[in-house]
Amino acid sequence: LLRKRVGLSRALSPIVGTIIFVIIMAMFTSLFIYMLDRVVNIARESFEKVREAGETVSSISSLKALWNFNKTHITIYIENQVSRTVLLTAIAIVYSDGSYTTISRVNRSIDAKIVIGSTVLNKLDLPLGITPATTVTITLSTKSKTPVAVSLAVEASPIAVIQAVTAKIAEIAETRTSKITPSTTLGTTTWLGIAAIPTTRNATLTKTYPQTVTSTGGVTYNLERVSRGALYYTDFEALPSDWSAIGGWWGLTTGFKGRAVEGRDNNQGVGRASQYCYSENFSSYLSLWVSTKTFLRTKLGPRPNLYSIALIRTLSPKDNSMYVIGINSETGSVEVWSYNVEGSEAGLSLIVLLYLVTELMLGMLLLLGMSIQQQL
Amino acid sequence: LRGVSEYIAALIMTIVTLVAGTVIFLYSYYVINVYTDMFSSRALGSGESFSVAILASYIRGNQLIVIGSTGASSATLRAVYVNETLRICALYYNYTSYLVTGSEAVVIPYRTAFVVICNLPVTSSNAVVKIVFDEGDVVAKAGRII
Repeated sequence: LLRKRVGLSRALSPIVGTIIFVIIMAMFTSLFIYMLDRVVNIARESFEKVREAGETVSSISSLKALWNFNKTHITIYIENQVSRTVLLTAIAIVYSDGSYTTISRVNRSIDAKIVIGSTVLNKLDLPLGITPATTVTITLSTKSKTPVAVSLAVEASPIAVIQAVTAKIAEIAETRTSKITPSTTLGTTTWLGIAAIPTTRNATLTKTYPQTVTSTGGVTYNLERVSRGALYYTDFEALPSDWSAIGGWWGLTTGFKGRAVEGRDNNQGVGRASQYCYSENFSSYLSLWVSTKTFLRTKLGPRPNLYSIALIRTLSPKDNSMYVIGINSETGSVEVWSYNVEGSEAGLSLIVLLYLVTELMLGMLLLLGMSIQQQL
Repeated sequence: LRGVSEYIAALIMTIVTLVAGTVIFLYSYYVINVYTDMFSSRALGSGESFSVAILASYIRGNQLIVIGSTGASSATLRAVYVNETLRICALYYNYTSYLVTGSEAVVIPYRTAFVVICNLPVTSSNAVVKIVFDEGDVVAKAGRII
């Protein structure tokens, strides 16, 4: 009997030990899984908070604020360019004498002119919600003080965080009018100018996304041509009928914002070059401007190519005397050449032409900008 | 002296082991819950987190002036340090002035502009000011404008 009991107890002990071990393992495994789940949840919440913080900062940074001052009143422009409503909770204005004005919820209603879209209010109550795509204009009296800095406290969602937005001083738009009086004499009138148009985005005309901001007011440009005294103008979209070739092969080509004249030198023109000419009597002019745009498409031959504007004197005692102002294809420099002009007299008829020398291809696009004085 | 039977001994050992394991399990469960909840509520916030914005800070004469605003929740101002030195400063908000000494706290309501003014030597051209709230600190630099 004793042997049987000892045998039974030996059989029970491993079973009991195993059961205890399994139970304890199950408990700590479940504890570990639970702890892991909590850590994962915290990590997920952290990521969400970081994302929301990024959105909040983005919302606040997209708020545009400007201010200007007209000796008695300060005007603050605030434009919400994001798709969330932001809350204007406080305004701080610092003046040049070191004093300051603060406006927040505790000030309740204060006298001011508020323009929210098309709504005009006479009292400012903070906090003020600024809905998406809305411009708010706040005009306050400064009591004869000069402001030097304006800051706004803005609260944005999804995280209710407040942030200071420094309003920048607005550029005051002024109208500048320039009048250009073209020459009344025969010849091309060319003017070149830069029109800087200051604008103030003082209104949001549309409230759709993407937002369209249209500049209104203060935009005036008065640059228009009222007349032109050009002697001749062609864009070479077709071969002009009143031009003629002196040597060379000339024809139309494409690829230069339209067509252009292309030429190839054959040394059969004046001065063993080639010219494509427009003839006109210039003897009554003291000065003229001749403008063209040229392009060396392919350099030909071992010698430098020269593509130029030239004047040919056809009625002088020495016929076909010529002045050439051109660009050396090798050096890129402007060169002035003369041909058969020694002893010639000034003030005679001239020809404006395109000039080619030495196996050159030329594309002429538009009359633009080089001047040639007539006093030869 | 007679010992207990082998069955009783095995039963007692089983009970002791299971009870000890259960106590450790419940304590660990409690500790995990407490610390993760604390982290969630404090570090991640509940959406109404503390925030104070500094709108302007400058020196005028012998005064350091800091203009700020509280956010969606109130803030408890505890102390003001100028250039790492505790200063006694005046706090203004809602048409009322308070003295900030570092020993007593002043609660600034939510969405309220406030001004902190501290005396400085006239020769100071700039300063770094740290405003200590119970909920956190904000630091600003100030330069002389007049």
